Amino acid sequence: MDSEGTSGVTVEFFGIARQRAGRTRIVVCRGLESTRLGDVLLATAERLPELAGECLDGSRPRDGYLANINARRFTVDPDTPIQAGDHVLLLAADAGG
Amino acid sequence: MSTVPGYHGRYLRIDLADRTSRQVPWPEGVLRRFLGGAGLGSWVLRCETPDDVDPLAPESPLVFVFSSLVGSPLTTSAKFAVLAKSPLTGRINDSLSSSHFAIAGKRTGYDAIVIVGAADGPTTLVVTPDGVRFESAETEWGLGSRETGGRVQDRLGGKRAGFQVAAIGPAGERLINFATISHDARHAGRGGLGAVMGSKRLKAIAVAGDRVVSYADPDRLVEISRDLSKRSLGPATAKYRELGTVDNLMTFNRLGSLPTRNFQSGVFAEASKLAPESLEADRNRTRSSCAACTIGCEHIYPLVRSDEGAGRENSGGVRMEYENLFALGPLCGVSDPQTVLAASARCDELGLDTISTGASIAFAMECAERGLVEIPGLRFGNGDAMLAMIDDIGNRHEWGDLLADGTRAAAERIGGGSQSFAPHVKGLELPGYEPRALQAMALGFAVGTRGADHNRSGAYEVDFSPEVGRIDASPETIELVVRVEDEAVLMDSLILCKFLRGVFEDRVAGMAELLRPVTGWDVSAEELLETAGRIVTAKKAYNIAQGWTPAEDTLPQRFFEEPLGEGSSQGAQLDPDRLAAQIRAYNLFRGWTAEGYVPADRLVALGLA
Repeated sequence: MDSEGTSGVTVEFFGIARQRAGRTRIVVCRGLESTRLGDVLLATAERLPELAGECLDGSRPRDGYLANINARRFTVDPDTPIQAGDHVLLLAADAGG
Repeated sequence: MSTVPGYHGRYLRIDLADRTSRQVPWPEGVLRRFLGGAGLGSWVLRCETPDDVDPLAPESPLVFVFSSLVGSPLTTSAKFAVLAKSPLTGRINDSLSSSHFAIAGKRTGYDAIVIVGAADGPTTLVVTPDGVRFESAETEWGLGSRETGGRVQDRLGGKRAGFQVAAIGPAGERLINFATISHDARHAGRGGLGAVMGSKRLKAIAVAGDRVVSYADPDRLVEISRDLSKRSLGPATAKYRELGTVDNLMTFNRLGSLPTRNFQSGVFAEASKLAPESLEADRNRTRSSCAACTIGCEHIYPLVRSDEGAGRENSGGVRMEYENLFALGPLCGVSDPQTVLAASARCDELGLDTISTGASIAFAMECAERGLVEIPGLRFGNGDAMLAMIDDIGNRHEWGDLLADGTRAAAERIGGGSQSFAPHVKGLELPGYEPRALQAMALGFAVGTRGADHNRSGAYEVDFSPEVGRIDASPETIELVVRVEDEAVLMDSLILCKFLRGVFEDRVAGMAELLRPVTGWDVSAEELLETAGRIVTAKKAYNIAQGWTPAEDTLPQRFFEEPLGEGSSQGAQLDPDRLAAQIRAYNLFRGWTAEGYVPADRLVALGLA
């Protein structure tokens, strides 16, 4: 997190989400000290409508997708607290190889 | 013959030594208690295998098994299982493959084909409802599996005659401990079953027939098959359709869980060069699917011919999966896509398991960098040296002869502390899931009956879930690891593709729903979970009879002593006491002793005594 808490939240895309988004990442929720995952995903869908319905279901990842906070903890809970400077990864839930 | 719908009610037992065969009916109740595929195979293998047998001895059986679902309209059901005692691990090994071989094999009129003995010379088995023929394979000996399959098929009348042919390549003939059995460029890949086939001088097995099974409720079967196919085209499988399993590469790299340079790191700095979008650059990728599959996860990349690579090309293109990509790429420090594609194609042609091949070479690279061995040029990142070593392994040439026995055996001979970083469990090389960064998977690797394996355990699903932390596994981890292992063993017994997992709201209940109209059994999810426990325990009992000890249920010392040094899993390592406690808890959850032995009353309760 940057010292002023204004760096926003970086959303990183992997796999299908990256294909649909057409980019590897975006920054949303600039200016907020803290927020929650649901708001991050809603802001993401607003910026990238291609993801809505495909990888996102409102304020949650759609079935078959997961969010991961700072490359550590997986979640689908829209109430998960998110701080400015955090990274939210949007990726496929199935990691079969 | 009256039998359970979906089955023929018998298996075929072939003795290559005296060129005889006989039909063996399944005992009452066995089909319902073991289903098919890996489950039924574990039952018959346990019955047919002498205790402490040499996996490459003539009396060591090799078993091809189908299931009640093979040949049905259910998507992804065209699969077969091959089982034997693994020469790589000395433990039970079940490898699955998807192809028309499964459908043709079942149409021979048998639910399984058990092969014992060894032939006098190179042999092709031809199995039809009319009987078994033993034909010379002298002219195919030395050829790759694909060419062998084509030749045998032509000799038997071409595709119109309906024969499908599974074969071994040169690696199987040379008894390389991780040789595959191949059909239609698909492989029963892990654990060296190609070597078991080679030890019997069995080059190929051709199957064809017209025997079909009845179904208990054909109308309902068609109805649920349509529904399953429709669901298989939904978002849960989009990843596999559009990108394939190679999609894992960048995700795993970001999570610090991409095994790199023989598990020295969980991050590969050059991973993006091997990302799906990089693989696609300048290549006309094509998609394909297994027989009777609606998902279509295969992504095939053409090889660009070059003078340097002359003789290494595979004109049919290369099916690229995450596992061959990771093993022949980051694990060996190689980032050139063309080299990785060429390496994968060469493994296919020789009939080598790509995971064990890449892991063996990566292990040798680390030994070379530590000065434990002198192998000119073999260093992390040297793709040419990797390609040359694949040929040396396939030909058992010089250092390749040592690596052809796998990393456990190689480390025992090299010494110098190399056992601590030989990347195997029970002799089976680890797949592309870094256990320090995915610690439920670490438990799955440790307790796996066939060794370090992501297909039998599937515990990475637990790591990739909100329920537990992937680096700080909690007590709930144990129950979840057992659950996904149970689900996997059911899918491997029915036999269904695991990429269907996401389309079931409740996987076990969903599988019961598929089984009912096929067999007519009023089977419940509860019964299937008990069946899963029975099959896992049968595999365990097999291993105990073959000499298993609790000391085998662990991971290489590296994972306890060396924390990951970079990336999102920086600092992660395994705690030996915690893993040992988890293993004890897992064993008790299974109804075994804390050490992992199966009590006699548990065997009786499961019908395994």
